[in-house]
Amino acid sequence: MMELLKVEGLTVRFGGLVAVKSVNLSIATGSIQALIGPNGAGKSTLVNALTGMVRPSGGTIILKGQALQGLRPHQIAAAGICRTFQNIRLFGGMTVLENALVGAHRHFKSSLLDLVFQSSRMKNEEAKWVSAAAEELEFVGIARHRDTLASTLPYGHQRRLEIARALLSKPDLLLLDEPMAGMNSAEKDQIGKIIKLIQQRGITILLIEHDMQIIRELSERVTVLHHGETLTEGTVQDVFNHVAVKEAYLGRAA
Amino acid sequence: MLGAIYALTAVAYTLVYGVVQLVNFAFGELFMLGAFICISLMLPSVLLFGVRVTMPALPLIMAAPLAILFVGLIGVLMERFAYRPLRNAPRLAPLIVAIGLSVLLQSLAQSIWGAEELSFPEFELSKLPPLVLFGSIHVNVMEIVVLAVAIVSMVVLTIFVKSTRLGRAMRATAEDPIAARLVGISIDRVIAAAFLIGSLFAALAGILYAQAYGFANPTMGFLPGFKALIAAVLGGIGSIPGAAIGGMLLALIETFGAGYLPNGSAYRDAFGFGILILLLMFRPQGLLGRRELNEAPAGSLVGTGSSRQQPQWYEDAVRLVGSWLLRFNPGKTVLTLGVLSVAVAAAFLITSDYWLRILIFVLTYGLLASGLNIVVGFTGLLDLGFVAFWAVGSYLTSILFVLVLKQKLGIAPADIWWLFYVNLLLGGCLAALLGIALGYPTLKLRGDYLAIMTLGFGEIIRITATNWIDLTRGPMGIRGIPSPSLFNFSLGQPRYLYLVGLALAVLIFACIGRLVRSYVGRAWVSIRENESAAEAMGVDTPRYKLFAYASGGFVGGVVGVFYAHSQQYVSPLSFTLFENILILMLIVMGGLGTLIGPFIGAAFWIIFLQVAQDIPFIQSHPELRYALLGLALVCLMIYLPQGVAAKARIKLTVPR
Ligand SMILES: Nc1ncnc2c1ncn2[C@@H]1O[C@H](COP(=O)(O)OP(=O)(O)OP(=O)(O)O)[C@@H](O)[C@H]1O
Ligand SMILES: [Mg+2]
Repeated sequence: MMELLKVEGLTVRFGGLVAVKSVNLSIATGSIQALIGPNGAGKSTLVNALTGMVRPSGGTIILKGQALQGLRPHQIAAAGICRTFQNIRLFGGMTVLENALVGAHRHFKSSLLDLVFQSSRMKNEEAKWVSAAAEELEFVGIARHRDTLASTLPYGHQRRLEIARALLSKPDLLLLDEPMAGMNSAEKDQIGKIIKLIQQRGITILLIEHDMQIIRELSERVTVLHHGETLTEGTVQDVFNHVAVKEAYLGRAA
Repeated sequence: MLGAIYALTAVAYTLVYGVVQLVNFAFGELFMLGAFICISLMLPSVLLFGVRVTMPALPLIMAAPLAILFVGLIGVLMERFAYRPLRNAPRLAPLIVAIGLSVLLQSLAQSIWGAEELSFPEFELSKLPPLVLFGSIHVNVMEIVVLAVAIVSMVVLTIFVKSTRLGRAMRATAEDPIAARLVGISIDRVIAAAFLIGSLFAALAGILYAQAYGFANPTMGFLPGFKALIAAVLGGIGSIPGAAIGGMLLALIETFGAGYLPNGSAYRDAFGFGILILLLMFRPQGLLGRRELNEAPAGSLVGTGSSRQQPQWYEDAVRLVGSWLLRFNPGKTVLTLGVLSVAVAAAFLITSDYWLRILIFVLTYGLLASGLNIVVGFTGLLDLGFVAFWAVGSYLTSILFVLVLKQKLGIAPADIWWLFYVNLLLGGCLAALLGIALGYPTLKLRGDYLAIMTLGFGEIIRITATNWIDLTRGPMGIRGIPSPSLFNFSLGQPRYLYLVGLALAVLIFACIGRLVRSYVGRAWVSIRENESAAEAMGVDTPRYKLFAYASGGFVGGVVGVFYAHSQQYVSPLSFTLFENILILMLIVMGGLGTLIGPFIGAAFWIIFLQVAQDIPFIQSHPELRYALLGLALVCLMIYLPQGVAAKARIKLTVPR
């Protein structure tokens, strides 16, 4: 197994609250790794720490040999990690296509002079990424809406756009924070298919999801977070049979 | 004593900020209104709109409470009709409304009472001889009264907040608005109460200020109002004792600074702004602030459309204008060429120099507005110090041409006509550098704090231009700047100036358009729409913010050079905060974040200024035009937040 991401001892504090406690995580290249845990377990915080959006107070994050802890979010995006947001964060006043193109931002290399003089280099670059964006919109199934404002998009489409936008950054590792939250089961299935296809394109995925059935279908290995700590880590089968996991979930339900 | 007055006004800012997280810039104007109304009530008669009106000639003891109550009423109305509809709108909307209200009230006061100052009538206490304490310290009786009034009202407020139901509700709302609503507190009442009390305090402070200095004038509210805001930030905005301490401290610093620093009294007003900037950089929560109230909610600048149900006629009107604009879409190139040829033809068809000059103004303001639009409209950073860039360009070229070349070196401007063109670039670059330098410390700030800080920068630069006499000749300004020329051919006639301006406008317009329709423009707008998501998508947000400041600054600098040569005169009076607000309003009017909006706004406004001159009532009260502007701004924010050219929202991709 080739390791894409290795996280060791990652800790995030919010004042007195330790939202992520010394978490270790290892994601194999090309896999779909699931991250589960009850509400408030620290899953989103872990994703925020991986993408530099909160500053970890300790630990290391290593992607393909490069240390990422302490870098700024755009540097981490440049290193090859991109994400979607649990609470959708699109650019509401921009069209669907423009949203997707912001995802590709890091690939644009034209200089200011290229822009001002509309050089062919700039035009080619723009055309290339516009068509790449159009393809990704097609891929997630919202190509029809490319010129609608993102804020007027129906909820499900907004989630799809989040995925397309992240894909355009051509990440090695894609972090999906509850990409199916609030969807019905038919929609969930479609998103599940999309996730599987993304994996087949060679992109490694960390998937946060509450629906166990979906985890069973999609992922190989599961990490369980509880009160900010890794409760267990292993294959889907192992983890689902794990006593403590049941307790963590049932304990919450009771 | 000044400290007491700052402190009282600071309470107004702090109270309202505490419950709605809004800096109500209009408190400075309520301060002024308090003074005017009080004085009017104390006189036997006053001139209102130039008409003599008999007044009750009340004693101060009765006039003051009446005036304060009246201002309180205005404050409540303001909240009800201007702010409440925008309660859930993105942060920029209420801020712009606050600025609009400020302009409205100030210009209205100017129309009603006239631009002259109104002197404070004599009253019993002011005639008493000063008390002598400890044999050597002379204290005016009124100073003691002012202090006493301030202390008593602070204490009363503190008791009110601590021990009445409404007061506790206010505190709870300030702590956690959502929880407060859950436990059944009526947010509307709490906010109205905060505005009421805030307005009362501002009016009280205004009256005290006016009696101390013996006069009231329509612009008296600006500086004390702004300093009170600084005091509030200094003490930790949202904290009442903080406001008191902040006010006292600021007054102390000013007094000592003016007394002990070299040339301190000239720069007295700059201290406050300097402190503010340092504070915002290093300790934005102030002395007693609990947390950094600096989180701007993500979201569009002014909303991508009104979520509220609009009346039918309104919907229809918007649809009509929209469809008209859409129908008028005869292909990009044809349109561009058409507009261009009309603009060029105008130079030869219009024979009146007067109207050509007006067109030059339209171009100048349209360009300035386009520059600011990069920062405010596209990137979503409310910049109130933009005039600084304009000033830098103007002064650069004026100093070079007049003070250095002509007077020091004795070179005739005609011999170095080409320097004008070099200066266009130079002024632009210098202003761009300044943009980066001033932008850097603001990177971490958002929303209100950003606006306040940039305002501080703008004021500091203006105060410097006024007081650095060796460099700028101070308030006298610099005269005799040569008009542009090409070899031996003078371009000084309005017709040629207009063409030069037009050429500049076309160039700058094209450059901005090309930048915006590219990944750069998309990065800017993504910052405006959701900064954290933009970062996560790989946009280096600090860099693009600085680049926006630099680009905006560049445009400002270039226009400044052109402006200096077309006016042939510069003075600090051209670069006031009011100009900045005006430019901002032009953008809002035309449409934030559109390319053509700034020009539409500028044309609209400047032609309105001229046309309005023919209306007799406005002729005798020219300030009413600005009052209308303020009113228009408030209404636009509430009813048409995207401006007149809303449908011209530009594509952020290269047209194919
Ligand atoms: N910015 C923050 N400041 C303070 N506390 C925070 C912050 N963000 C998250 N927390 C706290 O950290 C803990 C973990 O939150 P997190 O959002 O990571 O949980 P989660 O596992 O994603 O839950 P959910 O399934 O509901 O999305 C929670 O107790 C939350 O209140
Ligand atoms: Mg979460």
